[in-house]
Amino acid sequence: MFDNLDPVLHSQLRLAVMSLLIGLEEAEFVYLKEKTKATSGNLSVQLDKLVQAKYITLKKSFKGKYPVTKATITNKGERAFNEYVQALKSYIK
Amino acid sequence: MNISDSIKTIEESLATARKTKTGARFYYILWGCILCLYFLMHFLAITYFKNNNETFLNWTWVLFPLGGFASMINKKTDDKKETSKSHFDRVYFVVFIALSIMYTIVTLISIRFNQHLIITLFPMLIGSAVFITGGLTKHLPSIIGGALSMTLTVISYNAELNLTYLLAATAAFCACIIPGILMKGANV
Repeated sequence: MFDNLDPVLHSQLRLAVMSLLIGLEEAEFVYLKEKTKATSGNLSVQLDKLVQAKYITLKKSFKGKYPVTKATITNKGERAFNEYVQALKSYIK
Repeated sequence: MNISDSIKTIEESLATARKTKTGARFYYILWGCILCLYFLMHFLAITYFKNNNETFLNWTWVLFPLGGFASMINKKTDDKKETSKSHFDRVYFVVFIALSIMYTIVTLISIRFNQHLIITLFPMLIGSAVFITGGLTKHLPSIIGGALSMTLTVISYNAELNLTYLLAATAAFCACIIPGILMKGANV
């Protein structure tokens, strides 16, 4: 039914992550987990899928003694998100 | 997931992302107070203590390293707590870096031509930076404060030296302190 919709984005958690990241410069894993109310395992899997599609990049660093993973949307991700929104609009019309 | 679910997810996530604060409020209030105090001290010293204000004015620069130290402490605390960064962070960073460069250049020019040029132009420089950031972040008090500050340059141009300092202090108050206070609750 939704042939034009990007299958990578047409999943609730991945779409939520992409929508959060498009409105932000960068977001940490804990922020995404808190805002999407996802489990760590599920979020990790979905983030990996977005990385494989080259829609986001993940950067690992340290905040004091603690490891931190920061996600940023890529240009390709932004384009894909805009196309997804356009496709949604065409379904609504 | 159907179309309405997708739209709902996008809308909710965008609204959540929009709530991320930049931390600009702290810097606006801190540097607004420092600049306001600095210019007021100069105004008072020149107006009321004309004969023996040299020693006093030579020490007013101390306010700036103090502000730098407070900013550094705040940045460290923010970095520890912050889990997301708004696009507006970059806006503030770029605009205020541009302001610093302009301020330095005008200071160098004013050393050569007119030592008080930088004080006269201060309301315009700070006002334009606050006006631009206010426009981009859709923060009305910053837009109004910035515009008001820029117009003070016109008055400052024809004013006596002591009044130039008073107008610069007023500019810091209008462009930094008031918008900073009114940033509470706003998404900036």
